[in-house]
Amino acid sequence: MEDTYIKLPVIRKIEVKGYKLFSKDWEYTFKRGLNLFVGANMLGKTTTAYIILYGLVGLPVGQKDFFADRVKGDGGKEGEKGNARVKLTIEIGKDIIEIERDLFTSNIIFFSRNGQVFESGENNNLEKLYEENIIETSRISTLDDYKFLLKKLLIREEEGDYLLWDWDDQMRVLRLLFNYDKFDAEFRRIRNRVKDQDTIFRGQQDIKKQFKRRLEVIQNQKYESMKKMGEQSLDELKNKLAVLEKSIVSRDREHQEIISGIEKLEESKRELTESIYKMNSEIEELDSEITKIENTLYQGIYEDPKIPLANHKLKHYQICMFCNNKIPVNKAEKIIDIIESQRICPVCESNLREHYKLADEDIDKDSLIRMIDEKQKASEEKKEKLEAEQGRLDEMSQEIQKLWSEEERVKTELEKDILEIDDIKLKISKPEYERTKDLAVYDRDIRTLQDQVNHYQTIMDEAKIKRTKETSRLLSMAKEYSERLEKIRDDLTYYFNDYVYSFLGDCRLVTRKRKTDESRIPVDIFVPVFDGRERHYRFQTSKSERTFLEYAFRLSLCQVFQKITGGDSLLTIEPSEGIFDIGNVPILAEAISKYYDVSYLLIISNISRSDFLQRIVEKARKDIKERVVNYLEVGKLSDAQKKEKERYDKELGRIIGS
Amino acid sequence: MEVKYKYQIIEENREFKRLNEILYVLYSVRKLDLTNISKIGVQKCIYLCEILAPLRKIILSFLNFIYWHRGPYSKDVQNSLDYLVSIDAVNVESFSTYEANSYANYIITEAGCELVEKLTLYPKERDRLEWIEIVMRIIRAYVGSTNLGEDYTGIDKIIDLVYQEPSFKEVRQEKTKHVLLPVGERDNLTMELINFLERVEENLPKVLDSGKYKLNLETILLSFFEYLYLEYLSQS
Repeated sequence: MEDTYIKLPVIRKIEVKGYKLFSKDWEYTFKRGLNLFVGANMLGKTTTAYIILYGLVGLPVGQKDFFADRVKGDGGKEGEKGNARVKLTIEIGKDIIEIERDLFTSNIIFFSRNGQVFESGENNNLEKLYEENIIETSRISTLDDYKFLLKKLLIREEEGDYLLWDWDDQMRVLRLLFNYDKFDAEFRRIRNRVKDQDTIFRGQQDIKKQFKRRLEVIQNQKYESMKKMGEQSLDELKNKLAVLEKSIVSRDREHQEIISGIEKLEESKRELTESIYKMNSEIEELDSEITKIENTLYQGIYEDPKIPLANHKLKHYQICMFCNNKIPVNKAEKIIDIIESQRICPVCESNLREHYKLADEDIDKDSLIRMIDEKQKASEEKKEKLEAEQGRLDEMSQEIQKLWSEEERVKTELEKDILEIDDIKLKISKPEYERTKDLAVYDRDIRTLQDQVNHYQTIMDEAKIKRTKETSRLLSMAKEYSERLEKIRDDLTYYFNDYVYSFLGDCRLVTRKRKTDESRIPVDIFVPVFDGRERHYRFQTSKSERTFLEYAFRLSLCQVFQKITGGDSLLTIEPSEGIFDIGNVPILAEAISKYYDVSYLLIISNISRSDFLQRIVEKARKDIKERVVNYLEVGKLSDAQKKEKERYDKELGRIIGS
Repeated sequence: MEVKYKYQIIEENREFKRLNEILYVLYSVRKLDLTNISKIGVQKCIYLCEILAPLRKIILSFLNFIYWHRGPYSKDVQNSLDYLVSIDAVNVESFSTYEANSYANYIITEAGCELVEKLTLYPKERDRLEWIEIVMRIIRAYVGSTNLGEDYTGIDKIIDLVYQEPSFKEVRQEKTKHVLLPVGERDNLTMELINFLERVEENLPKVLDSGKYKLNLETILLSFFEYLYLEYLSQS
């Protein structure tokens, strides 16, 4: 199991060359226990921490131009850049790595592993080779793990971060230190998946919400539209249409009845007209008969007028009956003689006696007059009847005219109704068409939007399933993580309590579930408890308390790691100013000194904190003089510092007993 | 057998009736103790009887009167007269010619009177005789009691009044001879006058009304003749 833990880097030696911050090139070999970098302000103590970090993992996160700025600020020249280098000898497990970097370009100048020197070639990138070798030997996943551990755990700058209250960082440190080597990478990978799926889910949810909102709007519009259709009294129109259609049937029937009435009357009129015509003919016939009888009567009274008239004209006026021309008297007398004496026609000699016979001798005038009278009466009766019939005919014509007027009225109303029906049908059909059209548009939009919503819902569902699945795995990992924590908790609490006891009395670490931003699931983190209160937040402690607790936590972690894995580490602490203000320097020094036997410890301190230095040195080994880097020697002193150098040297000599 | 068309029968009938009407005029002349009547007189009397016939609601048979130089003239009247003479129903009392004109006076014979008697057995003919008698009585009254023109004698004097008759007068004023006079037409001026007179008669106080149809008819006729006479007077 131990073999699966990562290995922390132990800087065994640092060599700084050509860096103009310092007065000279310098090197230091770290020793187990206390290592003390001491000096005055602005001599490069803190920079050394960065040089270690830089040398080990390259450019520190967020401090890209750190060294470049320092050079510029220092008035360095361009040509000088290439000379500033750091060479680290690092122990990772059983491997010894040597690496030399250009401080201004971050380029690896030299890299060896257990004496095997790697050089850059056409296909070999030293950075890559270095990283591969580090990963291989340390079991970390990427070089970034070392960057993280150095920054968050192994190097505690003055006024640095608080791992104890930064739950994400704490959890990752714990994951890296106490789980199998690729656990953290796997955890982060799954967490990223969860995060990705969650991002997808939320992203799609937002888009889906937009489409759904639009869908609701369209659905509302459709509903309103349908409602509006209803409000346009479609039912009323239909009812009116039904009434009109009923009315039209009734009117049509009425119209038919009128037409039928007219036809009947016309038929009667025709019959009557025929009858009148017949009567007229009869009357005419009667009149004609009367005339005939009259003629017979008159003929009976008079002679045939033609021959006597011709004879008369010839006799008295000698005028020809044919051409009305006068003829000689003697000729006329001869013709008259023939007519009157012989009673024969002077032209054809036919007998004229018949024409001279008076008709009344043979004709019964009374009988004729009676006949005339009878016929006259019959004619008058018929005329009377005819007059009556004519009256009827007139009435009938008037009735027909009246019916035609009625027909005109009904027909007008019928046409009006038909037009109104057409109008209503148009009104009914038009909204239906428009509604269909509008609703079709709405339906199309709704379908499209619903498809979109469904589409995003599907993606969401898939993301949700994946997220659930990954979350489940993550939870499973969190459980495994918790089990690991369970295993180290006692030791950690023990060490932690041991470090802080003299300062805070009984102080333990308890695990509490926290859903951190980074984990996205509830995970166990350590929370300090003292004075009966769990200190979940930094503000629940004083500055000295939290600084002390932070040091103790980091020391404890490294100690537990060392205990579990057997792996060493180099823990760097640059104590804060504040912690000395409260007179707790001996307690802190006491606490720190407890770590001397555990592993490597680097204390970076200002020489002005002589009490603190005195205390930590007291507990150090006797070879303390070899464990010190004196920045008064390697740093570039200011004029003021130069003046003070003698005093500083004396003070340092007093502390380390030189 | 001879087939007679309807128009022939009617025309034959009209010829008989024309004879009848001429006989009635001559019969009336005899009944009114007038010795004879000239052919001009017959023409004018027949014209007046004809044009005023609507008053009696009867139709006479002479329609083709024209405007001639001595007033209304119808050759049918003369033809009928000649025929009646030929059958000895009428006698020519005197006959004379002057320049191109011939003058004759006519008188009904006993045979003619017999014909009238025979004809008036038939009621329609009786009505016609009655009407002509009424008109002839009024004509006699006017020619006998008024100072009409001296150019004519006896019944012929009526010419002066005939000249005032509205229908004829209208045509005469146009001075277009041979024009057919509007006898029998409903809208001639005479008819207008008759209608006017009838309306006046209808509105007359009943004290004058004997209740007898003839009186009414004669009253209107008298008014008409009075009008003609007044016109004649104003003319002269």
